[in-house]
Amino acid sequence: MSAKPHNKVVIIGSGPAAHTAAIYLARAELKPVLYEGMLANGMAAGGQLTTTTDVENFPGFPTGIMGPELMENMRKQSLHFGTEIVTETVAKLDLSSRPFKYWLEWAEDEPPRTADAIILATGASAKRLHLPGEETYWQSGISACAVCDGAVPIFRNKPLVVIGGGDSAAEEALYLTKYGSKVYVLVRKDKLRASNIMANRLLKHPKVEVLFHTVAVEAKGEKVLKSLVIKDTRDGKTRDLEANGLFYAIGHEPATSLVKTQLDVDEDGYVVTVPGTTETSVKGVFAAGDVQDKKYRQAITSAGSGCMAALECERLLAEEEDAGAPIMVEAMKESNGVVPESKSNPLV
Amino acid sequence: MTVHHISSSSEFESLLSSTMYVVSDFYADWCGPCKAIAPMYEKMAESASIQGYLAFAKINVDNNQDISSKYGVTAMPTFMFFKNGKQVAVNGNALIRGADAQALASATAKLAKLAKEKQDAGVKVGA
Repeated sequence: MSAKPHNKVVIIGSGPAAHTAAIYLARAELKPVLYEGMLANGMAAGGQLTTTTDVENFPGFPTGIMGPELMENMRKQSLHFGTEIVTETVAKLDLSSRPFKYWLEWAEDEPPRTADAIILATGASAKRLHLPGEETYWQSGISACAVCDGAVPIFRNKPLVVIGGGDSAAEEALYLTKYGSKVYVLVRKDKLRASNIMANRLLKHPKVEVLFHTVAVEAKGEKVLKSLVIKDTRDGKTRDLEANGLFYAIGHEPATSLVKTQLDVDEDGYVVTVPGTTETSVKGVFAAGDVQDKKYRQAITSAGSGCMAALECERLLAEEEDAGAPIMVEAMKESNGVVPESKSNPLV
Repeated sequence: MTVHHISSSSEFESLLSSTMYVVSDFYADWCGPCKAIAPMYEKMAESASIQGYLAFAKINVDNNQDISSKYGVTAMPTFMFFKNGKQVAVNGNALIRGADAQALASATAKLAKLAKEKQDAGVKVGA
């Protein structure tokens, strides 16, 4: 652990929002510390883009770029401008007073670390359906990540199923055509939500069959998944569909377990921000990226809100500094007379 | 000693028959969690490997379908443990599925201790 116990601004997250915020804050010489997490929320640092392949809609890459490579580039850019990146997971946050306190995973009994401002960019992760049989075959045929698990032998030349009708469903299904004999896509409604370009690719692919008006109701198998019971939503009739793999692409849930009792979240659990800003209900906490966005959820919109969070955070800290640094006074009181370390960061 | 990058089932078999304890990491290039845990795995291999007693293998599932089928790999990464060529449970886990750093660290620590004891006692592989 190299990070100092007190920092002006701490970023929690590892996706486009977190790194864009870090790049702006580092260039503003605020010496941001970014906790990218060690498989925080079950995902590798880099976030949801590490579970994708080609990203074709992030401007600046004329022929597209691989998701993991895009994230590696962003990480390098953050480091290059002086962000301190810590590969540990923030396990607990206390937003009740400033400076905010936080604890790292496996060190929750140690004294807290503190920050004057926090940028929350913890993102979201794929939703599951929790079908009967899902627990039994989880990771034995049912996977959260087609790109991670596509290559395992149980999927080779076997029928596979993707549930969902959006762009990520289309992407996963197309990726799985490399491995499976056939890829079924189950769509609850009568049409795909995916963008035209992805929908057309999907519908045209010889290995893909899109089953509209169809939902899954049960996962069955022996040691591994063998079939799904599927239901036609129009007449309610069920039938078995042979399937050795099942992949969910039915949307996301925001990763708010650190904060959901401490700041305002909406009915779906997303962090509420003041419209047009990244300000949350707690002064000094800014939220960016998918943790506060259930509408766009794109790499580029995440990056955009990460930039907003950095600029808003910078402005707040500057205003408070002009007003005579009330934060430090509080910090000294809080920590039993131990003055927070303030020597310059040797890494920068 | 570093990680053995396995490129064929015969190479894996020969590692299993020449080394008392083998830890194996079944992974794929595009798997984020696999990448995330890789540096830790490398470090463990560097610090804990003992020639003939404890080795660390990495098996690319894409390139080694035969090995991954044989051991029933269904998700990535998957970590398995072998003693004298047979797959064994460590700390009650038949295998570790997913990049569970804590479980992997404690399983490896246990094997490192056992391997050291066997080496000190002069027990040979297969005995």
